[in-house]
Amino acid sequence: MAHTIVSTDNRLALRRNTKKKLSKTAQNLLILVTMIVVLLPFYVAIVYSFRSPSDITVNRLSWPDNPTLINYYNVIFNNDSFLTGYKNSIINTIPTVVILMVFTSMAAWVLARHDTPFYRVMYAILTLGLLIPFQCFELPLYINWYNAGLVSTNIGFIIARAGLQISISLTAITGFIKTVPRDLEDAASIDGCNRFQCFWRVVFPLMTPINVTQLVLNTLFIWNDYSTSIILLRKKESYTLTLAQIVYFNENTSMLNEAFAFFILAMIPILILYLSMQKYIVSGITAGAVKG
Amino acid sequence: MKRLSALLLALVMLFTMVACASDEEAPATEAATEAPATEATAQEEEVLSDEPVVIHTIHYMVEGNKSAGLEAIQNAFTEKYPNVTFENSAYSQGTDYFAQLSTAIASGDMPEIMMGNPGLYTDLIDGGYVMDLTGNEVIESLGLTQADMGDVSYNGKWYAFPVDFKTWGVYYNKTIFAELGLEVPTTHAELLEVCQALEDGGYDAWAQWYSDGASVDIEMRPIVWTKAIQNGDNDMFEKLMNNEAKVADYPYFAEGLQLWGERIGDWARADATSNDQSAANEVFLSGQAGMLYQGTWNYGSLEGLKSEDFDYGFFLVPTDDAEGEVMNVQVDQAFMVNPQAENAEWAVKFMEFFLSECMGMWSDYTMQPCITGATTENTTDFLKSILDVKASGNSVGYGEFTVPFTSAYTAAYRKALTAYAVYCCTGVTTDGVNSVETCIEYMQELFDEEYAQANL
Amino acid sequence: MVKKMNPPRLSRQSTRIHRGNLLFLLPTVVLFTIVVLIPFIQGIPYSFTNWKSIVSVDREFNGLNNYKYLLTNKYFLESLGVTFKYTILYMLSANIMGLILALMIHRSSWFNNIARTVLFLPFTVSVTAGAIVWSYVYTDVYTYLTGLVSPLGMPGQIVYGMVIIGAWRDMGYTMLIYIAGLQAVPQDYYEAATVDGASKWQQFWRITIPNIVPAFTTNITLLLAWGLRTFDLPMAVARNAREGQFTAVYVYDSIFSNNKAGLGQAAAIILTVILLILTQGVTRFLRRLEVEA
Repeated sequence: MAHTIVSTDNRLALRRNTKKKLSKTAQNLLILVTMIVVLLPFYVAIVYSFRSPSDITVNRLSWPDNPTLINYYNVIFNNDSFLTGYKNSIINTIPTVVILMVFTSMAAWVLARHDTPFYRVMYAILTLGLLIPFQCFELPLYINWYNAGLVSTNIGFIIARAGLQISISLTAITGFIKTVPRDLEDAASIDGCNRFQCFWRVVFPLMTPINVTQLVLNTLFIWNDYSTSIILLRKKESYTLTLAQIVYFNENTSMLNEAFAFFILAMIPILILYLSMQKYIVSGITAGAVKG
Repeated sequence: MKRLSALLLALVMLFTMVACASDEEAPATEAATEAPATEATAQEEEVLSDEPVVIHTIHYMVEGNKSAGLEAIQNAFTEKYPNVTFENSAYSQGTDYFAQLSTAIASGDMPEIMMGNPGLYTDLIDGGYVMDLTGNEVIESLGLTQADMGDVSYNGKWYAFPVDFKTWGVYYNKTIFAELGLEVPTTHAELLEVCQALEDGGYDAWAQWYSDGASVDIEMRPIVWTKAIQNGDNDMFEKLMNNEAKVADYPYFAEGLQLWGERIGDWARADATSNDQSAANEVFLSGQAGMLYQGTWNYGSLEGLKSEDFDYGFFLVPTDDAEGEVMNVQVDQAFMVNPQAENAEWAVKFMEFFLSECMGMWSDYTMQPCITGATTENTTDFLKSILDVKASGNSVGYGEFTVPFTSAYTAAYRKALTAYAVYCCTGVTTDGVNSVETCIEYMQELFDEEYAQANL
Repeated sequence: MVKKMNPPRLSRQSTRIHRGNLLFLLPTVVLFTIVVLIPFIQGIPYSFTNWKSIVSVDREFNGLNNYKYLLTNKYFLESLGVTFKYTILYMLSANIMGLILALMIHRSSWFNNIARTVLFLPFTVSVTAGAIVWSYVYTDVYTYLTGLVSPLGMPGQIVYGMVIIGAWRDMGYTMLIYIAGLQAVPQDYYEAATVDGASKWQQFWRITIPNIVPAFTTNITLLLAWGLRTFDLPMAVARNAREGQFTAVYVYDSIFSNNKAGLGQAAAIILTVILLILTQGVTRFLRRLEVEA
């Protein structure tokens, strides 16, 4: 059908194409500029991280004359919380995001598919976590955790962090499910699937794009968490990366170069995760699934 | 003069040695006298010492050299008492420390050792979470001044083990000063001339760091503290917090603001109000600015970061008073012991060990002047000169005030000072502050607010 | 309050599958209750007391005094004002940027894929670390090149300085949600519209926008909530500035630093109520659009 329109006026189509190409170039240029601005802070961090401690120059933007890896070395081998922090961050993050994926996708499906006062109230309550400032219940949370012996433990952190993350995840997943037509579920239930089979066999696979997206996003939130970590993780052996970072980011610190080296090192696993998951997130599975 | 201070120093060291000796002779009996709550006898302690003990310390020495120093001393203690191990939690002071400490206490999680000057933690003391150390023989044997002890006292009782002290003044780039033929200024007018000469010579006068509240605070202290104490207003902070006196009742604030404003003058760098300590240190060390107003707690950092040929000195801000400059002294690291914690007696024992045997080690690790004046063969001339001034008695201590500002008042005070610094640096009026008078009005307004909230 | 929508069909369906649904909800509800709800409810009574230091047990009931005080107090209202100012600017800029970027790069190509990765990069950084890096960008780049004072050191500009940091970090997030939304729009809608002779612009307003309303709902509610709860950012770069006294910072300082736990708790409740009203209002409005679409 489409080509009939194009073929009605070839010249018009040609002009449209040139115009399209031009606007495409302008668009790409705009994106390029945005990318440069976005990357600027990373450039600054990288420059600092490769500077030797005594290489103090007036122009702090210029690439260091004698780039060095000493800052990275110091972070890895002289910050005794760095390796523990890395280990704990990984141990804490993985179960948290898995729990979140399973729990919230189940809940979100139910909440997205029903619109009675009961479910609406449930949804409102479960998304309350978005609205309550953490400082408001920080103290009671800590006291409860302390009494339950959960302070400075991985499991305590995982439970708390998953609970705190529920609201954000739920909002996103519920929003997504609403865009998925329910025909498939209806067909499945006609075929005799029970609710659990229907969910795990039909709905859950359809949710892959949002689940992968949420997996990555939740990883970021938990990997970078500071407020919860600092209150719940008090022993050095339970420190996460963000806590190992305190050494650098406080009022009396002078180890700027190391601070930035740490910053880069802490980012790397996240970056790898994002890059490897990116094709899932963006490959248009969403649209395909919807059409199917 | 020099001989006198050397003599004093020797005396202090002698005391320290005596203290060490007595500590080694009878550690158990001492622990017993200081912890009356538990009435531990020497025998009981022998039994105790076999059991594994963990001493938990909560502190705000997040920067590497200080926590390394603490850990080294802890290791030395573990060597002596193998059943004792340590656990440390460090939080940054301005944002997290107090919150973390009080959250822990509120939930019944009791660290044995808590860093801090008792005057700031009166709620902990009132709640019975800080051990009364009055009359502790080790502290007594240090022979500290009343001012030093004031920093670790509350209502006349001792509540912490003081370790080192801090002061503040001007670090200056000797190379630049020599190049421009400048001398260390001895009057306020000379200081302003130096600023101008630096500017004319193509350098910035100051590396400033007014984004940090501590900076604006320490710029005021040589006037405010010194004059208040000299005039007998030892209860100044107490009266301000009880609303019995107004900021305007104390002319020192106005004088301090005036002189400090003149120092900033037209010499503020564009990054003056956005720099923090480390940024300002870099500006100074890179030779862009001739002077840096900074605390002695940054001495170690400067030493660690400076290039080999960087040559700098230190002087106190000159005043035009007949008595000359007086050095401010404030106890920096101090440690309280929580009597409700499981191993409180061991904590006391550790702190006594720290004070009596490890002060030199501490000073070497941290490059901080010890409150006892202890030195080792590694002690730098810079630290020695600071210790000399303190030993000579030409100093004013924060501990001479009846009570210190609480953290809420300190925050309010610094807010007003920051507004003033911003006005001086950028010419922009913020929160109505565009003169000494308006700054004092704003300060009073913030204090009144604190007072109102405290009495809800 | 609650609008009745097709009551017969829904109620029949809900009674039939109710129990199964509860099982699906249970894990989430339990987790949420122990982590958020219970501590939150435990905290509410404190707001009606004159509790000072959290280490002391002394506290007396003082009714609504804390609330009355706060709602007439210049500094608290100011902290709300600055929080609102930041939130609105941050939410608008992060959403507009995110949407524009998503529209430009939601189709897959090597260039777009790189662009997505790069633009999302800031979100992988913690707020605190990102903010501190930015404070150096401002002094090392902005001040160095222009000679002007960093916005973080210039009262009147501090909020803008923070908005830039916030938007820099979070526009990648909104962009991603918008991309997911855009990719969920069925292509045949566009094909049909092209057949009908609709221009790109018309397609954008009539097809794209209505079909990504759920993405708007998510992004706007989320950023509204994040903005109003902003804490790490001012703590990292504007600790001493009055403009850095966001409500969440006010709450934290009152409870933990300044020994005014009761007052701080009341401030937190007020902030929660404001958040509740605002986000519910916005969500309701956007949900109505969703239904229409």
